[in-house]
Amino acid sequence: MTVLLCALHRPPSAAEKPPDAFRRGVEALAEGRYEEAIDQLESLADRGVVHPDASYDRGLAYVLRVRAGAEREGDLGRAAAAFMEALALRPDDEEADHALGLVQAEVARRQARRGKDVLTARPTLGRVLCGLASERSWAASTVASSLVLSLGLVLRRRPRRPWRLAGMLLASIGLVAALVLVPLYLGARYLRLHTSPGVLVVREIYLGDEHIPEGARLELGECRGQLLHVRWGSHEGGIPAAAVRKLQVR
Amino acid sequence: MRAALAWPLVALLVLGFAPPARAQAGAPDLTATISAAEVQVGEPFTIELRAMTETGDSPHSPLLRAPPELAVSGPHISSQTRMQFGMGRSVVETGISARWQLVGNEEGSFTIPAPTVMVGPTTYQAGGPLHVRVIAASGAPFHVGAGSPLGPGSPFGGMGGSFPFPFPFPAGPGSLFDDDDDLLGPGTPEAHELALAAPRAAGVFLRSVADKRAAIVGEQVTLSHYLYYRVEFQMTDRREPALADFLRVPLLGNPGTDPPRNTIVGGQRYLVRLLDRVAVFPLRAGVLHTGALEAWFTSQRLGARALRTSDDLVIETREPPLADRPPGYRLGDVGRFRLTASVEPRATQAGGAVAVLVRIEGTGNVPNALKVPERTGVEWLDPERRSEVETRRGRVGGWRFFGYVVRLHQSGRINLGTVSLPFYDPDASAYGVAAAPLGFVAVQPPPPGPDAGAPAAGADAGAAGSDPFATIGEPRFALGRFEPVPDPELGQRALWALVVAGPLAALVGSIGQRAARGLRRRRSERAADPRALARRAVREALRAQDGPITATAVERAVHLAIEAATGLKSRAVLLGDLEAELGRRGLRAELALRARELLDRCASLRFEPLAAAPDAPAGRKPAAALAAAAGRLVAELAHERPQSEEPE
Repeated sequence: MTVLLCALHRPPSAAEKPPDAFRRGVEALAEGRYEEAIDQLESLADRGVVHPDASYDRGLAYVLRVRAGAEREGDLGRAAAAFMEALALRPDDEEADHALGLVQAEVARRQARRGKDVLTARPTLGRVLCGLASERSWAASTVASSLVLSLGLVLRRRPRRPWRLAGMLLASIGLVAALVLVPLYLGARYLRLHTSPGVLVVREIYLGDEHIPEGARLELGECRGQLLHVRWGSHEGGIPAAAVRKLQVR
Repeated sequence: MRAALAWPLVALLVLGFAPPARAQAGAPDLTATISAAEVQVGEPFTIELRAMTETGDSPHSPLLRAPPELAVSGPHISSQTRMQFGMGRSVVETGISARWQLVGNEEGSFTIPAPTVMVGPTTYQAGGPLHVRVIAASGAPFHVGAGSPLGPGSPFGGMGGSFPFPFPFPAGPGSLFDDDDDLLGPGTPEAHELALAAPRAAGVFLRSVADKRAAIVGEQVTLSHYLYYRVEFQMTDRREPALADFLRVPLLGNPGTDPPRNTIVGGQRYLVRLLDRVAVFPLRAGVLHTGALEAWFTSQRLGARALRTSDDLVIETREPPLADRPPGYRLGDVGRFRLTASVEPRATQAGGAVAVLVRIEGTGNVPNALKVPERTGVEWLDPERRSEVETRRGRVGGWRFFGYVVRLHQSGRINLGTVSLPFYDPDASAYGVAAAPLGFVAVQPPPPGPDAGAPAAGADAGAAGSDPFATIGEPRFALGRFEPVPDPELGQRALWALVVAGPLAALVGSIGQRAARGLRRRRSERAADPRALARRAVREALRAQDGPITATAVERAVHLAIEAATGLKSRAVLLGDLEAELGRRGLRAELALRARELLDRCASLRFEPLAAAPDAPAGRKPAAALAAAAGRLVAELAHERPQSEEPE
């Protein structure tokens, strides 16, 4: 029996730049060493390096482990999370979109094979409306409605009738628009400040009577102890924090 | 003679060796005894039930119902067997002995119903009721009878039987509790480090101590639980701390057997015994609670089942620093470790397997799983595990062995990679990586024939040969350019200022416009008011230097004042009729007269300036006097109101 001496070597230097970890990770990924690739690319994420290409390669590393037959529970979820991060950072990334589609299709196929219904989350109407535009868009629209309202109020005071009529119309439109747009802006801001996006990285979990599949996108709320408040569509509840991967999109 | 004696002798022998008769065939032989007829408050005593039967049915379910003033614990049940031989006959009886321990909490005489036992479906009572008298605690030592919990085998007793000195030392003058320290010989070791400023509770208390209050996730924290006492007691029950967020490893082989030491608590001498010492490893970051050790004590001075709890210790746990953290580090791998590995054989065929043996050893939280260098074409099966965890000088350590079977599916010279274990060394406050390179294995191609190559990739890869990820993209070898998502946070003050400013400004402008219009209207109304016009005319008259101009102004002032006071346009009235007309309109006669006189003087001044003011003081121009008089009249007329404006 050949006994190999152990080696106790220094860990990578603190001064080492993140791209070195990225380079080692991608080299390992290209050579099929998915374990090392995952470690290196996850260490990038731990250090707060946020880049769509790093997220994409991390997703590929998890997919590679699945393809190699060494899948661990949650690998597809983590791959989906990585591709969602890449898309959030670079929305026009078609490769990441395609990869995410493949992962979600595989999850759905496995769900169907286990006899589970393929579920989609239907968000609440409020969240749908707030999500129609970005927070900045709602803010700009609110300012515009305010200007319209102001113009209407000014024109209402003009002595000539056509101007007064125009002023009343503009003021009405501006007021109604402001009453609609201000809550939408406040809602979008509230969602940004108090929630964050995440992905389920366990095979499935039950929220009440509803089962959430792996790779499902969740809205994360407050964490109390080891329980995290999440919302999936119109369902909400607490699940173990370890079952969720928070997306780093900023 | 001999015959006369023989039959009595035979009778005696028969009676002596004959088995005892029972009133009821098949009924068990029951006896119930009480260890003391009189006890002090807090002094334990026992009731024992023996139930023996010849039948195959063994007695079961002994039951004692005691009055609520007596605390009962038990029963402690043991099996009994009795054999008797005589007259060619043997009797074997089997049964049980059940013992209850009772403690009186208050004084009084109590009757305890005899205990019962079941044989088969039938319940039997062991004789009549038992009586006990509980008297007030006198300070006299308890009588420790045979079979007492303070008897042989008790860690807090040891002498057994009845002995005059209760555990641990007798009370009363000259005893340990007489605060006479000279009684403690040099044999009892001191424990200065366990001294306290004040006792946690009277007589007996518990104390828990941690060797550190802040730790890294997975770092060993040593908890020690101490029992402090200066009264005799019996520990009747004990509950361990919850330690919900910790992994627990005992450090003592026989906890509670260490000899006691003495220390000072609040100026009094106490004995201290180490109850237990454990190593705990935090499982997560945060503010973690160990929970409290609880124990119940029965004592003459404490009463029955006095509860004592130890400290609920708080350990602040954090993750090791992110800086310098090696890739693949798992939370909880804390300590100092070494890795050794071997691979056998070094050559195989594609599809064959090699054995990889890995051993971790060190101190700390020895990991129970290893991250192996998995790669495509190399399949690591679940390992065989063996381990030994031991304690060395209060530190937990040991070794774990993993035996892997590794299947190699690709031919060629395959590098198995390096098994590595990143860990955090809290003593050095630095990370380390224990690594063991595995080297190369020569893998021969499979022999020609049926495919013995790689298995289907992925357990859930769908239909044989189909890869659901076949069309996935290639890795990206560079961090490309991208624009970070701008922070959507907007200056809230500026935003709401923009939103609110426009409408607010428009509203304010509109309101201001209306206010200005109103002001102008009121001003113009005031300007057209006869009283105001009259006062203005008076001012003109006072300013004028010319007699006729003054007269004109005064005249105008008087007429306006009359109009404001009476509503009469007096210019249209003849001067001679003016007084009467003014009187008809309710103006006071004096004012009407003065008005008329002023108008006369105006006419005179216009035409005869020097003669118009006969009452003017010397040196004062007549016009000025006229203007002054007009001012006085106008002021008085200003208080008059036309009859139509008079309040009803």
